[in-house]
Amino acid sequence: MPVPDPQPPASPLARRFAERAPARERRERHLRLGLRLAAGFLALLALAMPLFLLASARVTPDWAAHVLPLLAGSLKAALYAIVVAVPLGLGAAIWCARFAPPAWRALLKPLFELFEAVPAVVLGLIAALLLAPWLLQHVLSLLVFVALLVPLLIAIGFVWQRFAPPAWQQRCAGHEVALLLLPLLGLAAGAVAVGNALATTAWAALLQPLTPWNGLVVGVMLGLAVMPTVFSLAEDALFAVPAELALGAQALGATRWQALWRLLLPVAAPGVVAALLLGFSRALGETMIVLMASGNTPLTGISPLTGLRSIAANLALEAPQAVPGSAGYGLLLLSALLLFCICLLLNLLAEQVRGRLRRRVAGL
Amino acid sequence: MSTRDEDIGASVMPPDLLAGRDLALEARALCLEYSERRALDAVNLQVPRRQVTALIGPSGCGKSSLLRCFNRLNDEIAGCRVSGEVRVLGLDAYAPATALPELRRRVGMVFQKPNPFPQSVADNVAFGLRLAGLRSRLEIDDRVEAALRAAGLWDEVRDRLDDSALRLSAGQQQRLVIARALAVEPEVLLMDEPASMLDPISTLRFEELVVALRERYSVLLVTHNMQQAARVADYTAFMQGGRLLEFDATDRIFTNPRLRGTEDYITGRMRETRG
Amino acid sequence: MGRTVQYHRAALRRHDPGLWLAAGLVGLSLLALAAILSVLAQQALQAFAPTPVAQLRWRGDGGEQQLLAAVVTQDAHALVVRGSEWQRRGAEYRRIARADLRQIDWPADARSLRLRDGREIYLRGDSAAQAPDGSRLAAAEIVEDVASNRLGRTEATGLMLRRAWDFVSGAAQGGGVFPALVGTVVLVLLMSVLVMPLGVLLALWLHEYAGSGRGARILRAAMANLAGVPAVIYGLFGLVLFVNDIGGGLDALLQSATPRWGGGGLLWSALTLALLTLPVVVIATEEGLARVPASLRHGALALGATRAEMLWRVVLPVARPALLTALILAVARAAGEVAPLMLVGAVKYAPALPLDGEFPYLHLSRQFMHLGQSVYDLALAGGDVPRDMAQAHAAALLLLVVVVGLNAAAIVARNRLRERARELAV
Ligand SMILES: Nc1ncnc2c1ncn2[C@@H]1O[C@H](COP(=O)(O)OP(=O)(O)OP(=O)(O)O)[C@@H](O)[C@H]1O
Ligand SMILES: [Mg+2]
Repeated sequence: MPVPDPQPPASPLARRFAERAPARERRERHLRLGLRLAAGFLALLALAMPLFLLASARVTPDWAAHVLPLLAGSLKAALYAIVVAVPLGLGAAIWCARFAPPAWRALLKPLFELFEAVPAVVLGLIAALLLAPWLLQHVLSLLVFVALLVPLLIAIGFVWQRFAPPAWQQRCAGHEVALLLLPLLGLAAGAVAVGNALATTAWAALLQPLTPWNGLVVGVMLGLAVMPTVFSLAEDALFAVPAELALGAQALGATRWQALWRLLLPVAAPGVVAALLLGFSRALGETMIVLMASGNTPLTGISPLTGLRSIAANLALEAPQAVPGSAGYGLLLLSALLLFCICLLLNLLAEQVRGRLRRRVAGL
Repeated sequence: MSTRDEDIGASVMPPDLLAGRDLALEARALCLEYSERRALDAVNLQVPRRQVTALIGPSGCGKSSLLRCFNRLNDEIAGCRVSGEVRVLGLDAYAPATALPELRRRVGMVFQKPNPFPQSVADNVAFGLRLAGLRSRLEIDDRVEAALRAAGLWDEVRDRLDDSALRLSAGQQQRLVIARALAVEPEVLLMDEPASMLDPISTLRFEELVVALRERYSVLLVTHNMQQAARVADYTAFMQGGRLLEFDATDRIFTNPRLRGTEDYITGRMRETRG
Repeated sequence: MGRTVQYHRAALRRHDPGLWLAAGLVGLSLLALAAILSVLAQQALQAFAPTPVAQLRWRGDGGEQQLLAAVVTQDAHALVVRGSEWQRRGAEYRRIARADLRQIDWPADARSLRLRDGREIYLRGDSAAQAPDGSRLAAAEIVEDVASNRLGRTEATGLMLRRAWDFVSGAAQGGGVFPALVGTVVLVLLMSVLVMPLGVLLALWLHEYAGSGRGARILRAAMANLAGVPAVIYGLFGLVLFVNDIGGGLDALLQSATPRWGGGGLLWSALTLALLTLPVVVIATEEGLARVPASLRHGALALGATRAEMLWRVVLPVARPALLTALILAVARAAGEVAPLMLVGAVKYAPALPLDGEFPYLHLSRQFMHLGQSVYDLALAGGDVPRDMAQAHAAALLLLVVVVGLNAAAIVARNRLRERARELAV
C-alpha cells in the first residue's frame, strides 16, 4: 500500500493556524469549565432552596394550631379559584382548539397570554377596592347570573340553529363569541336587576357576607388570574390531538361537540388534568390577590362568605418582621416548606400526567 | 491489516489500480451506526491525492454518512457510533490525540444544501481566516478575493461583498460555500451533491470548477448525476445499502463495470437523467 | 376537502349546545378582561380629573351650615365633599345626606388652588386666599390655580395630562410614583444584568455541551420545578439566605453597628428576582438555540471552528432575538412581581433613591420603593382614602402598561424569531 509522501512545506496560512491552535484550544477548555461551574452552582442553589427552608424550619408543640388554619386557608382559596377558573379556562380552550377559525385563535391565544402577564397586585387592587364592595351588595345577583348562564347559552344556541336564516348562520359560523357578547351583557344587567329586587328578602340576608373581603372575592379574582394558565395548557393539549380523529367521528354523524366529548377529551384528558393541577398549584402560591382581598383572618369554615388567611399571604405579612431564630420564624418557614412541597408535588404530578399525553398523541 | 480486509479490498477494487499513488483519504473496515441502525458496513475506500473521485449510489446508501467520517462531523450527531479505521492524509482521524479543528481545516466540506452563514458575503469567506487570527484588512480582502475567484464567483459578487449572503441565488450560495471552504487552504475537499440545486448552466460551470480544483486539491464528490461523474471524475466508487461495492477508474466503471448491480444502477440512472 | 366542508356544515346545522357553551365562556372571559381594564382606566383617570366645586347649604347638627367644597363622589343617598384643607391634607372630608341638603350651586367663579404639599383650597372670585385664622398664603406655595367649573374639554384634558405627568415624573406632592418608578427600573436592570449571563451560560451548557447526560437531566428537572415554585417562597429564600445569612454575616464581618447588608436591600432583591426569572431565561434561550439550524453549526465546525468559536460567531448571533425574548420575558415577570420583594427590600417609603449622584452612585444595600409595592400600600393606607385609592389605580395602570407592553414586545419578538428560523431552514 502506498505511503503518503512527507508533508509538503506548510503554507503561511497553515502556519498561522498551527500557531493559534493552542490558544484556541485553551479558550475552548475554559469555556467548558466555566459552563460546568455555572451549571454546578445552579444545581446546588436549586437544591439549596428546600434545604434552607428545612434547616431553619422549627416544629413547636403548638405548630398545628398555627399552621393548619393557614393551610386550610390556602386550600380554600385555591379551591374557590379553581371552581371559577376551570369552567372559564376549559371552555375557552375547547372553543379555541376545536371550534374557532384560525383568525380567532390567532387573536385569543396571545390575548390570554397577555392576560396571564397582568401583575397580581393590579388584580388584587381591583378585587380589594372595587369588586369587594360591589359583591358585598350583589351576592344574589352573582348567583342569579351563574344559575342562568348555562341555560341561556344553550337556549341561544338552540334558537339560533333552529330559527335563524341559514344565510346568517353561515355568515356567523365561527363568530359565535361575538354574537354572544350582547346577550351576556344583557344577562348581567338582568341578574343585577333581579338581585336588587330580591335584596330585601330573607335570602339576601342569608347570603350577606360578613366582611367585604372574603373567600368569594378571592375566588372570583384569583380564578380570573389562574384562568389563562388553565386555558393555555388545556388548549395545547386539545390542539395536539390530530384533527382527523374528530373528522372521522363527524363522518359517522356525530356533532362536533359529541366528537369532542367522546373522542378528544379522553385522549387529551391527561393534558387537561395537568392544566388543572398546575392551575391549582399556581392558585396556592399566589400571594398578592389573596393578601389584598381575603381579609387575612385565619378562619377555617368552608363558607366562601367569610374571610381566610393563606400561607403565602401570611408569609408576606409576617416574614418581614420575624426575628431570625425565634419560634415564629421557625413556624413561618415550616409553613413555607409545606407550601413548597405541595406545589412541587402538584408540578411533578402534572409533569407525569403530561408525559402520558405526549405518549398517547405520539401513538396516534 | 488482516487478510480478511485484503479480501474485501480486492473484491471491491482491481489490484494495482492505485499503485504508486499517494492517498488522501483511506477507510478500512469502516462501520457506522445511528442508534443501533447500521448505515455503513465494513467500507473500504481509498481516495488518491490530487484526483477527483466520484461517489455514486442510490439515495440513503450512506454516502453522506461516509463523507462525514472523514472530517468527523459524525461526532456531532447524537447516537452515531463509528468503528474501523479512517486515515486522512496519512494520519489516523479517530486517534484520541487528533485535533479536530486542524483536521477539519485540512478537510474542507461542501454540504448537500448550501449553508451560508447569515452574514455578509465577505464575512462568510473570511470566517475561517479570522479563526486563524488574521487581522489585517488588506490580507483578508486579498484572500477573500482569491477564494471567490477560485470558486468562480468573484465577478458576480465583487460589488455585493457587504450584502447578506442569504440574498444570493442558490447557485451563487453554493459557490460561496465552496469559496468559504477554499479560503482556509484545505488539502482535501468533500463535496456532497454540490450541484443538486443548480441549473444546467451553473452545473456546467461547477464541473469546470471541479476540474480546475483537481490541480491542487484531492476531491471526493458525491453525485446522483452519472454524466457529471463521467465528465469530472478520475475514479468512481459505487455504494449500495451501506457497502462499497465497486471502485474503479471512471471510464472502466461506466463502460465495463464488474458487478451486475453497478451496471443496473448506472444504466438506470443514465436513462433517468437523460430522460 | 369538499366532503369535509359538507360534514362541517351538517354538524353546524345540528343542535350543538357545547359549542355555544364554550363560545359563551370565551365571551365571558373577554368581558371580564375588558371590565377589569376599563374599570382600572376609569379609576386611574379620577386621580387626575378636576373635581367640580359646589356651594352647599345643608342642615347639620348645629343648624344650617354652608360650605364651598369639591364634590368627590355622589350617589342617590349622599354626597362626599372635601372642604378647603387649611390644616391638613385629607382632614376635611364630609358626608352629606341628600335628605339634609337644602341647596347646591355650581358657581362659575369658583377656583381651586393646589398647594405645594398637596392640600387644596377652594375660593370664589378673585379673592386672595385667606385662612380662617387670617393668615395669607404665599404665592410661592400655590402650584396650581384652576377655575374648576369653567374648564372646557381641551383645558380639562390638558390639566389631566399635566397632572398625570407630574405624578409620573415626580413633580407632584410627595414625589408621586417617581421614586417607585426609579426603584422598579433600577431593580429590573440590576436583575437583568445578574440573570442574563448566568441564564445564557446555563442554556448553552444544557443545549450544547451536556447532551442527555445525568447532569443535564437533573438540571432540566430542577429548572422545570423551579418555574413552578411560588414567588413568595423565593422571597422567603432570599430573606433567609441573602438577608439573614449572607447579609448578617457580612455585617458581622464588617463590624458595622447598624445593619447595612443584614436588612432588605436592592442587591438582595435583584438576586432574588434573578433566581425567580432564571428558569424563564434558560427555557426561552434553550428554545432559541434549538431553532438555530444544524446546518449552520456543521458549516462552522467543518471550517475548523472550535465549539466555542462556533457558538460565539454563528449560533449566538442567529439566536440573538431569542436572547432578547428571554430578557423581555424575564423583565416582564420581574416587573410585575411584588410578593417576594415585600420580604427582601421594597418598602413603603424610602428616604433616598437607590441611584443618585453620590458616590458610589448605585446604592446596593439601600431599601427602595417599587411600583407594585406602592399600589399595595396606597390601596390599603388609611388617611386620605379617596385620593390614595385613585393614585393606587393610577400606579396600577402604569405598572400594567409597562408589564403588558414588555410582554407584547416579547410575543412579537418571538414570532419574528420563528419566521427568521423558518427562513434560515429553507
Ligand atoms: N442523523 C441521522 N440519524 C439517524 N439516521 C440517519 C441520520 N442520517 C442518516 N441516517 C440514515 O442513514 C442512512 C444513510 O444516510 P445518508 O444520509 O448517509 O444517505 P445518502 O447516501 O447520503 O442519501 P442521499 O443520496 O439521499 O443524500 C439512511 O438510511 C438514513 O436514514
Ligand atoms: Mg446525502
